[in-house]
Amino acid sequence: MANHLAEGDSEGSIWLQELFRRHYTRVVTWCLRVTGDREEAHQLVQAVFVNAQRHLETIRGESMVSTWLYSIARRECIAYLQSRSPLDIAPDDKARKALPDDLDSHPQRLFEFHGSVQAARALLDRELNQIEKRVFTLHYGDGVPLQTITRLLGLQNASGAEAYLVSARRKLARALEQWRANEKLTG
Amino acid sequence: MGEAKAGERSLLTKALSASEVCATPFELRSLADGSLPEPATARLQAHLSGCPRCQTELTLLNYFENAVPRPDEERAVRWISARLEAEAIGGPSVPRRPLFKALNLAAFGLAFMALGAAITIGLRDRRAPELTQPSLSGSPVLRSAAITALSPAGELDAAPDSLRWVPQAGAASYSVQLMEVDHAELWNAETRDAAIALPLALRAGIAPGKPLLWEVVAKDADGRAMAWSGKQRFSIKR
Repeated sequence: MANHLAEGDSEGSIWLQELFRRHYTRVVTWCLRVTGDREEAHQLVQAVFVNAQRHLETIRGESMVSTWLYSIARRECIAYLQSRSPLDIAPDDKARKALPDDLDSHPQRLFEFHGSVQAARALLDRELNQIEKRVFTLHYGDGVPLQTITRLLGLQNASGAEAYLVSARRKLARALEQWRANEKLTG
Repeated sequence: MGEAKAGERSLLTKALSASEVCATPFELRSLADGSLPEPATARLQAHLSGCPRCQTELTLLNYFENAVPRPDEERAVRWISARLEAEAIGGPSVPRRPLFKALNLAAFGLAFMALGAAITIGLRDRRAPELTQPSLSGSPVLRSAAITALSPAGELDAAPDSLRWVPQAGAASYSVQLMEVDHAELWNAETRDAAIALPLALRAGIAPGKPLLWEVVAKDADGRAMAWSGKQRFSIKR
């Protein structure tokens, strides 16, 4: 099927229609959640499908079409978010205000804790709950703004992803305090 | 302070970005579907259970594959659909954007015309529940936790033989429920494992094209609910 699509023949056209029929709503919905704006979502959907058509040869079987489309949509959405605020991860990050300042003033301590990025990943995995991990990963790993994370994960608490970021950072600060207390005891 | 914050961001970004051992979305989907060869399954399961990056990726993949407009999104989705359809058909008053010109417009025109009807009908007739975390009654939202569901999700080639999820730390047992899209219960069970087999009779009764939901709730040793997967949606291809 992918060959027909790539060659643009009539069978490919029919299959392309079927592909869009099955997956169109989820792409539109996803892009709307990423942008929070219908005009921008409209442009993002176009970009996703243009890229999908350009990379039809990379489809790995019909059972993986939605995963393939997810990969393309994810890449386009991250590019879109980066183009809007390339370096500013969280311009409206009020979360810092309520925090112990350890992680702000001594960020290296998070990694002194265990000494490697892999160990830090294990620390994050151990200390944070599932939603906090998702929020942290999307925000710090991919630079996704908090409002977008709130929409993508369907968080319905009053302050959305921001609350989970605050909670996660408090837990990490507590873990650092515990680590320091143990160091004093053993040192 | 600004430098320190930048340093923290950089370190967190490294810790939370995909590493060379992280799974691709295709590997995650295969793992969730149970179609990954055994040596890779064991390796990926071990990695997934300790990697926030891959857990998040699998969650996003599941959310994408189950994405249905929420009531407050339906209007905007209709608007976007109508606009794309109009551009694909290319009426004289509708300016085509540069991106859209790059497409195979003949195929896309047909596709979007078909889609216009499909989406309008779909939005009216099929409203799947939102994939959100239930709030803890009377408890702060910050304490809520989520289970990462592995499978089934999305469109399947055949009826799933089991329901699977990532084990939840501290969970003594799991309560599992299979439902119709209107939340009418079809089956429920309890287990201590991070997977449960679906009875043969139940599997045989799953009609192709009919969406179903399932949810798992982790319970502590006292039987109190401690984490939820949220509703997961799947169907078998017609």
